[in-house]
Amino acid sequence: MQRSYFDDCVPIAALATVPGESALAIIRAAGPGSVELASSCFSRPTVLVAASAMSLVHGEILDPSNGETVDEVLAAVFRAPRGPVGEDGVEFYCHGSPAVVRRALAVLESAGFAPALPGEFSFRAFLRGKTDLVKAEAVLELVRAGSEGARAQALLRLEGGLSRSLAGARVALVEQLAEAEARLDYAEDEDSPAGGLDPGSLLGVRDLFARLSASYAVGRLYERGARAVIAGRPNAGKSSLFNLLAREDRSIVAPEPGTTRDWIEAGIELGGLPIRLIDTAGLREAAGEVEAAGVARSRLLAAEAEAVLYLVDGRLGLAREDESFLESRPDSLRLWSKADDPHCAPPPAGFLAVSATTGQGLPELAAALRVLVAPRFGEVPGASPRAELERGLRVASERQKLLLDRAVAALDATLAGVEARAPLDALALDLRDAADAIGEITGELASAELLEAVFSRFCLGK
Amino acid sequence: MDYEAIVVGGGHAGIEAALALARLGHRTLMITQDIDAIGRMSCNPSIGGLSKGNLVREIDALGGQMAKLIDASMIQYRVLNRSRGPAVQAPRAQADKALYAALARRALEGQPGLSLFMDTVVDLMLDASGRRIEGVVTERGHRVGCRALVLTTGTFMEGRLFIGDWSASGGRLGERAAVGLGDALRARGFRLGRLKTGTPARVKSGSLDYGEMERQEGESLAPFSFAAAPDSPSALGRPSSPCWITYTNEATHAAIRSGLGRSPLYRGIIKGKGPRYCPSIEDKVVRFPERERHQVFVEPEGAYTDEMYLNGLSSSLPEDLQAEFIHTIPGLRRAAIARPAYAVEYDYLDPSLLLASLQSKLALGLFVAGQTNGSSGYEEAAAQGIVAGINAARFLSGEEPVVLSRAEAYIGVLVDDLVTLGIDEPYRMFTSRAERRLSLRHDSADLRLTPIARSLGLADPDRLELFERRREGIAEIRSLIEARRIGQGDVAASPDLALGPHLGENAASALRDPGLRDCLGRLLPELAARFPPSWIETAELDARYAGYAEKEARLAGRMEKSDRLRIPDGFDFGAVLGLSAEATQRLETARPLTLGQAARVPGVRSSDAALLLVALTRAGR
Ligand SMILES: Nc1nc2c(ncn2[C@@H]2O[C@H](COP(=O)(O)OP(=O)(O)OP(=O)(O)O)[C@@H](O)[C@H]2O)c(=O)[nH]1
Ligand SMILES: [Mg+2]
Repeated sequence: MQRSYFDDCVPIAALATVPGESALAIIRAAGPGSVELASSCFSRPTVLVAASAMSLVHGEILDPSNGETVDEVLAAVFRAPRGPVGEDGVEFYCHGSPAVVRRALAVLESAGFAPALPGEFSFRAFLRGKTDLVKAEAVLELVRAGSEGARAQALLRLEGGLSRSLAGARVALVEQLAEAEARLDYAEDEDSPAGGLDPGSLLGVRDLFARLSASYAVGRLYERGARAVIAGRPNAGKSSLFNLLAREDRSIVAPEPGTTRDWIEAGIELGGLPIRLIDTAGLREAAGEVEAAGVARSRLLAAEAEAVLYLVDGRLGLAREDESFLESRPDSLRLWSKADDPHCAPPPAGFLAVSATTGQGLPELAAALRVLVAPRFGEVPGASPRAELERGLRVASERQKLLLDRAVAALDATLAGVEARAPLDALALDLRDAADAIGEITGELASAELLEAVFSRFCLGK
Repeated sequence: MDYEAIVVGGGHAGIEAALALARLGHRTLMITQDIDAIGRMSCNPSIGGLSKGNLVREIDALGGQMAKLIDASMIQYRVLNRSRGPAVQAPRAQADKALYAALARRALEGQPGLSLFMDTVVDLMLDASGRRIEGVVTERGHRVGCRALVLTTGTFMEGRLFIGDWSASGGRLGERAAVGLGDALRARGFRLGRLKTGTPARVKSGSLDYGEMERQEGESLAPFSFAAAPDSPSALGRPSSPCWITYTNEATHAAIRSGLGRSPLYRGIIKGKGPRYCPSIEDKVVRFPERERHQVFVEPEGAYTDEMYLNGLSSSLPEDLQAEFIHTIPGLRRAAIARPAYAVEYDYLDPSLLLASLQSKLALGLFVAGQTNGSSGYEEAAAQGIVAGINAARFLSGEEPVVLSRAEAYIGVLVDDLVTLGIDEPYRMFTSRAERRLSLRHDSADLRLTPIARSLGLADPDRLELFERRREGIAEIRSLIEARRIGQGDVAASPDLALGPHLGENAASALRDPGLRDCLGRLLPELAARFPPSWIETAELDARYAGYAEKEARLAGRMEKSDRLRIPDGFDFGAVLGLSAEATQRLETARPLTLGQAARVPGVRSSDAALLLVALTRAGR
C-alpha cells in the first residue's frame, strides 16, 4: 500500500542533495528511532547512538549483509525537537558518486528506513513547526531543482530573501493602512492624521508585486529548463551535435537521412541556466507515415521551444526548406554543420560554423544560446543593482503567485477607488485585502499589528 | 429574600443587564453600593462616537436602554466623520450627566420585577462542587440566594485612586471601593489582573476665558433610539450647548515634564496597564516629544452645573502641578479646579475565561460584563451588559445562549475579541476591529438586530410597529431605486451630473459610482415627500456601497468559514504535532471553540492555524 505523508511515525531516508556526480552527497535519515536504526549499518554503532545532538561522528556505512564498507562518511546526529526536520535523525555526508549513494540508500532501506516521499522531510519539518510556509515551499523546490541556478535561487529564498522583500513591501502597505485606520477610527474634529493615501507609493508596491508574480513563470522555467530544439533537414548532423552537447551518446547517429524518428531530450546547463536540449526528426516531405508524424512533431516542438538551433549541412548548403523554416522562426541560431569536412562550403553571413567531430564553434554556440535564453530567465543586461537583487527573488509556488495576483488586483482596486474619490472606509477594504494577501505568504496577520502601528505612530485619543 | 438573578453594580453594564433580566420575566435584584450613583458617568460627559455610536444603536435595536437615556438627556448632538465614509460615521451626543443618571435610576425603579438594594457584595456563594452560583455574601452579612449572577463592578473592585503622592481606596473620587470581592475571587481561583484608567480635572465654567478658545457647535438634536418617532428630536426643546477647543503648548509640556518624578505612573506605583488610545497628558508628552501641542476639548457636564470637563487632559500628577499646567493653556489660564484629575486602578477578571455568552467557564450561572472584563467605555460596558443580561435570562430558563456573530454586530466583535483574545490593556471598540464594518453601519442596527429582540421578547409593541414600518419603507425605497431607469432625458436634464455612462442602467447601479454622490434626490425627488430622511439614507447607503459590501462579505467569508469549523470539547492542543510551544500554551488557556477563534488568539501564527486545520481535519476523518 502507498505510504502517505501522514504516516509520520515511520523512519525515512533519502538523498538530500541533487542527484548526480558531485563532490558531496548528503543522505538524510529521520524519524523515531532513526539513530538506533542507522547505527545497525554504521561502523561505530555505540558511538553513534551515544552521540549528543548536533554532533558529528566519523565512520563508515557498512553493508550488514556482508560487512563491506559502502563509504567513509561523516554522520551528523540530530535529536527531536531540534535539527532540520525536528525529529531524531542522522545525516550522512558521503562521497558524491551516484553508485555510492544508491548502495548506501539500499543499505538503509534494508535496515528499516522507508524511502522518503518527495518533499516529505520538508512536510515533516513544517508539521513540527520547523519552517514557515515560504520556506517549506522553497525546500520542496530545492529538492526538485535541476540545476545550479535553480538551487541558488531556492537557497536565496531559504535565506528569507523573498520573505524579506515581501515583508518590506507589506510594511509599506500596513503603514498606509494604519494611517487610514487612524483617520477612520478617530473623529474629524480630533487631531487625527491628515491627508489621504499615497497613490505613488501604492503603485510602487503594486509594481513590485506584479514583477514578483511574473517571476513565477521564470521560476517555473528554472525548474523545467528552457527548451532548445535542434532542428534541420535530415542528416544535417543534429543528433551528433545533440550527443556532443549532452555529453552522452543518447541519440543514434547514422549516415542515412531520417535516422531520428521521434524527439529525444537531455538536460544540460549553460552558465547556471537549465536547458532542455531536444533532438528532433529531420524536416522534409516524409517518406513514411511514422516519419511524417515525427516531422510534424518536430515543427510543433520548434514552435513551442524557447530556442531553436537550426542546422544546415555545410556540405549541401541552404535549401528552400531551410529558408522557409528560418523565415518562420527568425530567432533561430543558424548553424553551419560539419565544418571539419573538406567539402564544407564557407558559412554564409549569420551562420556559425560548427563541427560535431572536432568541437569547432561549440563554445560560441553555447555562448549564443545562453544569450538567447537569458531574458527568459529574467536576466536583463545592464540592469540596476536593485533589479538584480529582485531578479534573484522568484516566486516558485502557484499559491504564492495567486496571492500576489490577489494583492495586485486589490491594489489596482484601491488606486481606482482613489481616482474615483471613493470614501476612505471603502478604500481601506481593498488596501487591507492586499496586506492580508501578502501576509498569507509571509504568515502574518493584520489586525493586532495594525493597531500597534496606529498607536505607535500617531498620538491619538482625547 | 432570594432572587432568580442578582446584578452586582449599577453602572452602564449593570443597568442593561438588570433591565434585560427583568424584562425577560426574571425576578432580579440589583445590589449597588450607592443607589444615588446609578448610571453615573465617571468620565467624559458624552455617549457615542466612532463605533461606540454604533454600539449604542445596536443595544437599542436589541431593546436596551442606553439610547433612550441619552436621547432624553443630550445637550449636544453631532454625526461624526460624514466625510470619511459611511462605515465610520457615527452619532455622538454630549449628555447632561445628572439628568442621564436620574433617568437611568428612574428606568430601573420603574421596571417591574426589578428591585434595588444598597450594599456591597464581598463574596460569592457557590454550591458544594464549587462550580455553580448559589448567591452572594454582602458586607453587612446578608446572604442573598440566586441562580444567575451578573458581575458588573466597573472600577470599584479593589479600586484605588491616585493623585501624585496621594492614594486611597476608592472606585470614583469620593466613592468607596468594593473591597474584599477581588480578594475573595482570587482565593476561589479566578484569574484577576489590574488595569488603570484616568480622568481629567473639572473646572468652573465661570473661570474660563472663552474668547481664547474655538467654539464647537452641534447640529440639531436627533435621537439614537430607533424607538423614537422617525426624525422627531426626542430631546425636545432643550437647547444645544457648544463645546470648546483649545491646545496645550510648550509651557504646558515643560510643566508636565518637570513633574514626571512626582507621577505615580512614572514612579511605578501604579502597576495596572492603561489604555494606549486614551493616554494621560503626561503619556502624550513623553511618548510624542515632537508634538508641539495637544488638543483639549472643554465640554459642559450638564445643564445644571457650572463644571466643565477638560477632555484630553487626563492625569495623575499632583494637584499643584495640575493647576500649573492647566493654567498654561489658553482659555484656562485662570481656571478654578473643582475636581482634580486622577487615575484609578482596579481589578478585572480575565475575560478569556468566559464563554461567548459571557458566562464564566469556571462557575455555572456566573456572568461578567463591562469593565470587569477589561473593557473601557460606557458603550462597551452597556453592550456587554445587555448580552450578559439576555444570556443570564436564557440560562435561567434553560435556553441556548444568544451569541451575535462578528458579521452581524459590533457587539459580536466586542464579545468575541474579549473572550478569545483576552486583554492586555483596557479594550475599546474600533471600527477597524470589525471585518464587516461596511455592513455594520449605525443606521442599519435595527435591521440587523431588532428581529432578534423580537424573537427574544425584548422589543415592545411600539418599537416593533416603528420597526416594521421602517423596514417596509426602506424595502419600498429600494425597489423604487431599482426600478428607476436612467434615460436620455435624465442625462439632458442634469448636465452637471455625469449620468451619461449610466444610460439605460437603473438608479441603483448609478449610485455605486462615487462620482454620482448626490444624484438620488434628482432622480427620485418624490422620495423626500413620502419617506423620512433616515429611511432614504439607509436605502441609499445600501445601494451606494453594495459593491464594496459584497467584496467585504467575500473577504470576511474566508474567516467565517474557519469560524464554522468547530474544535471539539476537550481537544488536546498539546497533541497537535508541530504547534509552537507558545501557541499550544495560548490555545490551552483560551480554549477557542472554532478554528477561526483559534487563529485570532494572539501568539498563534498562521502556520499554527494551518497545523490545527490539518489536525482537526484528521480528527474529523
Ligand atoms: N564530418 C562530419 N560528419 C558529421 C558531423 N556531424 C554529423 N556527421 C555525420 O552526418 C551523418 C548524419 O548525422 P546525424 O547526427 O545522424 O544526423 P541527423 O541530422 O541527426 O540525421 P536524421 O536523424 O536522419 O535527421 C552521420 O554519418 C554523422 O557521422 C560533423 O560535424 N562532421
Ligand atoms: Mg538524428
